[in-house]
Amino acid sequence: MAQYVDRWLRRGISRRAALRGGALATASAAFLAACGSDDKKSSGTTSSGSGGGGGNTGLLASATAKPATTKQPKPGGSFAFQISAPPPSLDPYTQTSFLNSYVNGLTYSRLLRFKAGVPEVAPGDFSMEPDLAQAMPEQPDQQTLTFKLKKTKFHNGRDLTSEDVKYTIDRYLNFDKSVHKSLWSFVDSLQTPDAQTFTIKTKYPYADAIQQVGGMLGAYISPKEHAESNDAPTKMVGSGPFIHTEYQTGVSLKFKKNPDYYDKPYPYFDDVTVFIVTDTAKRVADFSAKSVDLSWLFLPEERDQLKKQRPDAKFEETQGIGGYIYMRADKPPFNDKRVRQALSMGINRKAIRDAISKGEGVPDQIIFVGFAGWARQVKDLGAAAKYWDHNPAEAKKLLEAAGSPKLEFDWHHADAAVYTQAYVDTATLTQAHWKEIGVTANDKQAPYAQYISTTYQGNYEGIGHSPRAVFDKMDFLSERLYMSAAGQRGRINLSYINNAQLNTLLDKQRGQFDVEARKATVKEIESICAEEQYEIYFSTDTRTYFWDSKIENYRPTSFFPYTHVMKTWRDA
Amino acid sequence: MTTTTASAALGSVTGHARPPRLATLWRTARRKPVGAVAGLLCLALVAVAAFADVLAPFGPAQTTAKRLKPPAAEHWMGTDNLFRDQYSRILVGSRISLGIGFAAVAVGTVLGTLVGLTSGYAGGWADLLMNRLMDTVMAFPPLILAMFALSVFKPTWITVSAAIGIIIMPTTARIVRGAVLSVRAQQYVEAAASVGASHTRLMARHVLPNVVAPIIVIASIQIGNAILAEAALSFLSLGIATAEHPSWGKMLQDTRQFWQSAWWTAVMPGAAISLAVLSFNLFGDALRDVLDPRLRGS
Amino acid sequence: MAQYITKRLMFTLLVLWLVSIIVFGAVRMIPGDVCKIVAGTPDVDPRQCASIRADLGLDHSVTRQYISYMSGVVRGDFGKALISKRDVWGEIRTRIPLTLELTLLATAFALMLAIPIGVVSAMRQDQPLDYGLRFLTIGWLSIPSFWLGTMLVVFPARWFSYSPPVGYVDIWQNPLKNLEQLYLPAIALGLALSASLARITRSSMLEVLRQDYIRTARAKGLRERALVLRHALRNAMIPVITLFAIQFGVLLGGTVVLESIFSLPGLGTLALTAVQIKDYPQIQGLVLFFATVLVLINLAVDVSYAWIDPRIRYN
Repeated sequence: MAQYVDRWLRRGISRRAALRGGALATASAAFLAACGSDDKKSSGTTSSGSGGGGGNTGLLASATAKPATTKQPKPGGSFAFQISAPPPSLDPYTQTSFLNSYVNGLTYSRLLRFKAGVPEVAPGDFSMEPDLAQAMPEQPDQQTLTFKLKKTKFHNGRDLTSEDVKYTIDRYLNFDKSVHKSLWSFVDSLQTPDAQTFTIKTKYPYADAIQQVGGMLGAYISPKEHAESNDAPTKMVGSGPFIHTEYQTGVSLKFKKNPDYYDKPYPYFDDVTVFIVTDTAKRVADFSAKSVDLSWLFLPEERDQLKKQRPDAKFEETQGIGGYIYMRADKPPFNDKRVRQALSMGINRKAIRDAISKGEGVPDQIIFVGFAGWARQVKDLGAAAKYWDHNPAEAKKLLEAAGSPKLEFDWHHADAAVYTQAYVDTATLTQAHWKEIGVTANDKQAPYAQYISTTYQGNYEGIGHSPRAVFDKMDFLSERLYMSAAGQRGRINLSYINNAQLNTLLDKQRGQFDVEARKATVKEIESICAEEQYEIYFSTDTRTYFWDSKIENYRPTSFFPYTHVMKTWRDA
Repeated sequence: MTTTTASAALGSVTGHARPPRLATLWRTARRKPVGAVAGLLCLALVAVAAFADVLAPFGPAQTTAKRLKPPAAEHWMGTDNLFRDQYSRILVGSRISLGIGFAAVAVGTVLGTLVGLTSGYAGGWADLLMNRLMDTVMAFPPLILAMFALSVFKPTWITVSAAIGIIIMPTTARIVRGAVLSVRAQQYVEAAASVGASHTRLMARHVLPNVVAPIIVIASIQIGNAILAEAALSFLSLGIATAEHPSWGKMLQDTRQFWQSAWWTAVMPGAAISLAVLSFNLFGDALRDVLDPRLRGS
Repeated sequence: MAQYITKRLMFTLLVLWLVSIIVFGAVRMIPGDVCKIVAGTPDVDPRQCASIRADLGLDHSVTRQYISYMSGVVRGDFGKALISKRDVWGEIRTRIPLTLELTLLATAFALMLAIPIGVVSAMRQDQPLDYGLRFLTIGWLSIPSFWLGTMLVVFPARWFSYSPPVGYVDIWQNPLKNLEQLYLPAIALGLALSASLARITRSSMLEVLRQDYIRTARAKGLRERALVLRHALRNAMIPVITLFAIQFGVLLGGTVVLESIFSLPGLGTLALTAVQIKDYPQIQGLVLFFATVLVLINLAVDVSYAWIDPRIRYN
């Protein structure tokens, strides 16, 4: 591994020098880094390493707090940005798509919101500030959270009360078509002592409750009369900074300023337009031609084109999440950990990084390595780090030892339409690398909808390949690694992992409020996963945000860009 | 997919044109030099597709040490973003592009000929029914029909060829029907019928041989369109290409984001498509002029 | 005439009925679990699945489904899209103007190129200019429109930092901006059409120029230009229009690729997305719509010919 780390560093330094701002890498004080993503997301969800502090980590060093802007805010004007595909539906109850989150946050309030999105907060800092709540919740004990609400109205003119908050969370929990039930399963009861007070009682001490309340999925508050109307999929009615005015299907969404917004002086812009542009080449062309003020998630190749074409624009790079392979670890040949280890060692991750992100990025593991303070870099995983090295000779030996010198199986994945070309390219290259160790993976590509309804449910033989799935709180680990005593898999335990030690550790971390104690538990989970290679991880990449030089008080976040546009203005 | 044109002028194909013998080939080639060159190119393309494995210096999925390198001695069509030799991929890619092209035309021609023969020969209700069926197929925009079919049936060699073949079928059917109608009106066919020749015999001995020329002409003209259709479907990722079995349209789709920085990823597969289509179009044109001048202008 | 039109109308209805059966039947063969697609999540409990199937009417026999679907279609109700839940016909209707405009612009561009080329080629038959133009047009025929379209996105941005305005504005709102958004895809779409139109213009012109009345006119001493423009061209246009009617379907198919390359919200992108996510109510509605449009265009062309030239009626 040393050889590519070295090489990476040389590249890394020159790139960092080119970065605007040139912030020093200091450890950020992320309270709890929750990493934005979603099941349907391509490797495109960005996440910044929060500092890293130690320096030579191979992670981007761009993700620290910068001085707050000293310029005077200038209210007014309009703002336009691009997203890469049309949201399947605008209804927050029935969608987990990152595309929804991009636009839901402009219109809907949550009890709490992320601080990130402005220069003085590091993109990977996931700490919360009050949104609809007047202050952070009172927590008289570990199973109670009490919120005092600000007085405000929905965009339809009706007063928003604690009953509406209760209705919303109840709907996330119990609505027949809700896709967020598991996120709220810690809730025991919801109480509304008065119109401005709202209390959540939890079933057990749950360390991730605050993150969920202000989180990116299943936290938007909408009025009953809209949530249950036929307009829900095509229109948004919330109480947030911008009022949704128009949805031209597949083309654009328009918003105007909410004049009665409770957090003055926000928002600054009078109008916001979101353009849906599915084609990457077209997105690059549009930003080059100054048709939009902000566009994001560009891979290094496109970043370099844009830097040439828009030398005036501001930009910031973020650490992108890589994908992973899962396999039927409950059945031969994958129930032999030597086979899984060999497959991992048969992958030339550096070659894949070279192909996809111009060599940028580092190997990734079960906990996203950019998730500083919680995750270790692969090289720090001890003896197990060797499974990330490209070592065909050792891989062959392991396969031989496991009695499977020649392996042939199917590799199931979705096509590029939703997950992007980089995802498919990763599969193509890995299959080529495996040929060298005597492993034949037959490529089985399916349309996204089919993939998501079969393979991604666990209905497959051989192996599957996916972008990283959601985790908006540390407990995401249970979704992928847990198997109940009754044999019920965690929602995305696609490798059929059933490891008693892991199950115990997962139960333990869920209730650990002490951050250091929880980190220690998580570290144990991390080590087991590194050794077992139930899921084989590729590498992070670099995703770049570009915005116009006139745009002030904007910063990318490591999760979905939400309401932070409300703090942004145009310095004309 | 642009020449359903032949049907425009085709009510009146009569005739008895016979394919030229080998001996006259040279004279024909001298008369139609462009067509002859195109014909040779077509032959060359077919040979390339047949021997692609031997001719390709690298495997189609084989990764080399070079990524997105411009054309140079070792990789004279450059390399793509996944370190692969474009020349090798284009050679191997000709299999799907030409293979589906031919297979689709074969499907379309066989079905179209059957329909056209039945329709023209039997007349009456059979004719009416067949015509409405062809109208039904033609009611779908061609590419959309293929997309629709491939959203229902998983793309395989057979389904993709069939999807494109069905688009082609009505044109062939109409031309064959027209040809059959005019042949039937000839005196010698009536004579054969009057001496009691069976329908199958009439069809096989008298009618079919006389519609061979238009069938060959229309088939050759459609190959280019079929290749373009396959490329479009592959470009929309509705084809059958994989890393090991590339196709030109899919190569273009997969490298689109690099076109700006690496022109050869756009130009080389694009040129391969255009060259193949152009060759078959020119060859088909020349063939038409020689075999069946009455189809001229179509 | 009335009899001919009645007959053609009946054929048209027959064809539309066959189309509807093919579309409806085929869509019911799409693999994949509808429940999971609709729910947008792998977690579907059986209860929810049952309600989705009931929503879609899948709990009835195919015949009953067909009858209720078609009676909806007749009333303009094509059902709801699978995931977005939007009205299928509403989706189609709002996208018609763009696709119509794109195809019209492509046609205009194609005619602007094709007619001069065809006429000049015919006037200079078998001269070097004719050969050159014919070679050029056959060359255009071999350029894939998706390739040309992507080149038109990538290279203006690279060389001139130019890209047509993002999004889509209605032509009545801002005609200039609207045209700027559509002219590049229209060129890419129209080029191949121009090639085949130029070829038919040429041969049709040659045919007409051989006719007696042109010879007479020539003998009367009419100037060549007037002759071509006033007499020959007008008569030569009929086959060109026929060809165009046939090519209209091809043009519609081409919009799929070009609209997706240029991120234009027309029927083509709708079709492509629907196919990608297997949104079968939407696919069904779209294919039916396209087929109806083509069938009606053919009907119109046939009837107008019969009107112009009575001989056709007895054919």
